[in-house]
Amino acid sequence: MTPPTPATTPAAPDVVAPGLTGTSSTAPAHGTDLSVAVLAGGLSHERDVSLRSGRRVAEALRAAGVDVRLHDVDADLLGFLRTTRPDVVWPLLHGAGGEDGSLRDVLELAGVPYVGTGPRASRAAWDKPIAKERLQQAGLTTPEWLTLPQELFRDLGAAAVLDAVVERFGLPVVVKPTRGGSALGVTRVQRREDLARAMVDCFAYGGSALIEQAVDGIEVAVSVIDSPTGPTALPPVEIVVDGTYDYDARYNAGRVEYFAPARLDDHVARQVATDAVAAHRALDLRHLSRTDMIVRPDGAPTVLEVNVAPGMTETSLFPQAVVAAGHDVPALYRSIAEQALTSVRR
Amino acid sequence: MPRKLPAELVTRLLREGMGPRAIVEHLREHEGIEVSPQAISTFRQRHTDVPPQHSTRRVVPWDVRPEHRSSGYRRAILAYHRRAQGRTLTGEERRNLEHVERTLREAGQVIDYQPAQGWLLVPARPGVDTGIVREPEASMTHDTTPTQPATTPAPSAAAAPAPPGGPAASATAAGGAGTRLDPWFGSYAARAHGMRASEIRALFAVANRPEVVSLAGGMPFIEGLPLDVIGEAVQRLIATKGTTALQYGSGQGDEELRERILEIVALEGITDAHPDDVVVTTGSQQGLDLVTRIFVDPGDVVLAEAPSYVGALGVFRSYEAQVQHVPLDADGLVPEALERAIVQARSAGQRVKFLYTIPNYHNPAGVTLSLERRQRVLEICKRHGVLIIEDNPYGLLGFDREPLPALRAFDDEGVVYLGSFSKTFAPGYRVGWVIAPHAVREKLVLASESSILSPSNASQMAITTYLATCDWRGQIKAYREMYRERRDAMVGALSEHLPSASWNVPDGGFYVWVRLPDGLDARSMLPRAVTERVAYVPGTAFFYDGQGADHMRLSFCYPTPERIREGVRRLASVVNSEADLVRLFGTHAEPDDDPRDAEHPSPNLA
Repeated sequence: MTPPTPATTPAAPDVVAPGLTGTSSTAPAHGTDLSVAVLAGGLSHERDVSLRSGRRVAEALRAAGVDVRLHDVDADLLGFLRTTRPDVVWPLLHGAGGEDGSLRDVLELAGVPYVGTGPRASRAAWDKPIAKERLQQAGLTTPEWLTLPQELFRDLGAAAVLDAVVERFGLPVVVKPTRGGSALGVTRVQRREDLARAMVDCFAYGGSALIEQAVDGIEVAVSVIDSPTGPTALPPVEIVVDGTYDYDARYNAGRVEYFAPARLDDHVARQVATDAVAAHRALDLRHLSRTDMIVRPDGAPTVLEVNVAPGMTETSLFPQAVVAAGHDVPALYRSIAEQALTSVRR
Repeated sequence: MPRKLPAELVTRLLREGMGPRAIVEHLREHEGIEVSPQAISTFRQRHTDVPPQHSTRRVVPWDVRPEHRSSGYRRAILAYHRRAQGRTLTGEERRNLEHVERTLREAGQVIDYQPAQGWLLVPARPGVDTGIVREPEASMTHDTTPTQPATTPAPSAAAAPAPPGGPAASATAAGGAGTRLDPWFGSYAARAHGMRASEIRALFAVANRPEVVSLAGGMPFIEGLPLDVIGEAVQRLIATKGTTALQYGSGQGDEELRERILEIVALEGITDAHPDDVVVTTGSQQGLDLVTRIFVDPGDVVLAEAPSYVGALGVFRSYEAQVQHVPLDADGLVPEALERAIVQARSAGQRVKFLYTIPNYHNPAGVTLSLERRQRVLEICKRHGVLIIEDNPYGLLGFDREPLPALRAFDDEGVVYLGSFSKTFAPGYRVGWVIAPHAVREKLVLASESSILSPSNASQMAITTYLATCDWRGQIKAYREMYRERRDAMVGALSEHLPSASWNVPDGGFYVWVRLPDGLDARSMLPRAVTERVAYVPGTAFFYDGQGADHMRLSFCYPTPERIREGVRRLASVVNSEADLVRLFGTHAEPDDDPRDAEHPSPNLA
């Protein structure tokens, strides 16, 4: 891991401004001397999102002169990696398999350099309750939560457990699968009578549910990339949405208005950047991550979750942050891939 | 890391008044640096005091469509208006307003708000061309509700001609750097609002992976065709008639094919049609689109079975029809209910344009309209002056009996018949047809020409060749036997593994319509099925009004009997786990609260 570094400029610490980062002198100029295998698809609920992310990243890398091949995660994958021998693998798998660390285990086994967090850290970050505990240990704020496996309801009775939940947290609460992304299976519950439905919808995605106290405020996402000086936050992206930031809002352009950089006071912008970098470090993430936060009315950020494999689609937040930072997307993606190459060999 | 921007140079060029695109060009030519115009704009904003260049001012029409409720324009106008009236602003309004003002102040500008005129003058910013935003007085005073139709601002208020709502109309919030990522979001027609990828549709993405048993799609089993024979015939066709096959054709379709089509429909009792009555279309889906286009104005009523074909509902929605569902039972559409629906709609002052019905081996319900009911449906529609659209892709795919006579066989004036080669031969050619009364047919041909000029000559001639040289009757027979075997596999597996559900046993077609045990919700359950590597279509896809969550459609056309049994086994474990959960929480199947979005697998998935 790169060592922690202090904040850079007083105006916006941990924010990469254009011109602050340069191409490393040893990195090859644009040309097809770097080959990257982009892995996308898989069999998770987020296959569609992953395919979109994969196509976008492949396109950007090609524009930066990288020799790119896209491949699904299937029985041919290891043979494909053996025969094509890419310099770097960029897994863009969302959901189970992609973010839970298992594919990364296999890549480690195969000895291929890859973009992103290692298997153990992936597994921890992917499991929301574990990740939230680590965030708290690192001094970050995250909404109060409870983890409720399905069996618990069987043993104690659904109504009793749900009543206890409401008694403790009040309403509204947010129900989400303990694992998974893209807001799949997530419901914001305003009324006690809607809680049971939300639990059933959530358990359809997995056997364990996370119930969080809902936090109101400004929704922002802060992407973090590793730079030669350590993890660095890109400008926060603010999400203003009609209704909830659900799957429909995420992947159909229009319902959401994004502000990049977010409309935050300078000190708040500094705080969310600092927190995102702290989350990236606390969870031992590598190369890139995205931390989703709510800035409460008093200006204090609270971390909702941290993404090991942030979405890279046309409507995703990470690429918007890259553009807001003044980076050229292809060049930045290429530099991330190059970083993966060097971080393994080191 | 990306290339470093030469800060001094870029600042100088900006000060000289060069725009971001010109600077990008300059850097590429003189410095060998590749950057995006966006990077230059961002640099300008964040690192210089150079104000953005102002484009020509434009009048942007104030738009009160529901999707604009939160646009920066609207928020800014409402906030100004409320403040001018001395009303209290919400936190979000105040925040947005302050941001707008700050951004403009930084650019040395102020907003010119003239409540008397109902105008808000927003200076333009690079790439946004925002000029003047105006709003009709009426919509200033209240927030529009989602059901309120789009209104057009009064043209008299405009000092300059209003553009039809280009990127400026909605791309960016007033004064902020907000974006909706789709510069044309404000330009879409109302009929496009439902054209959205849904969570359910995304879940189907796994269905084309070999690990998944897909009981979701409607793909015929093409491997069952004599592909070598067809290949040779097509090769010969291009070699000998290529100059015609690869040329434009007639808008109405190839005459030889239209004659052949009459041989096919004769099997269902349509013997009085002439080749001139036939219009060849790009799949019967296009036929359905054309028929709807020429008959349906927004708000007109289309009657359809409950449930009905998901692709038809999509067409009706896109023409802004009101679909009224009419119940069906084991003998198909219920005639009494049909008559009631017509009378009710008429007495409510609605215009009933046609009945859309799938009389044979219904998709998704699997049932067939009985012979006796065919007469009654015809009689009711005739008496009330309601046209019948008879959609019949599966009519020849009965397992146990000869085809029943088509509705069109009894009535050449009141029925428009849609036929297809997609289920009996090959959907890849995209060839279907319409048989219509002469005046309707004239309009269909013109409508078809305006949308596609002519159907594919190559496809039509390939099908004509197939019909002329291959034993197509024998092929249909082979298909019937194959699909019967698959139906048996599915029904048998359902009896064995899913006794808690109920279903019909179709005697033809592709589908079994399964009613889930009480309380289960097919939409909610789909992620669990994906985890278990099996796919189905939730019943809500087949209703216009969000009903159907207690049903699912299973198709037996594509997987082999062995795979079907495996799929049903997996499905049973899904249903049983879900049933446990539902018992635990006491939930029920619930209507889809927004049934407008696409919830069916894309055509290439099965």
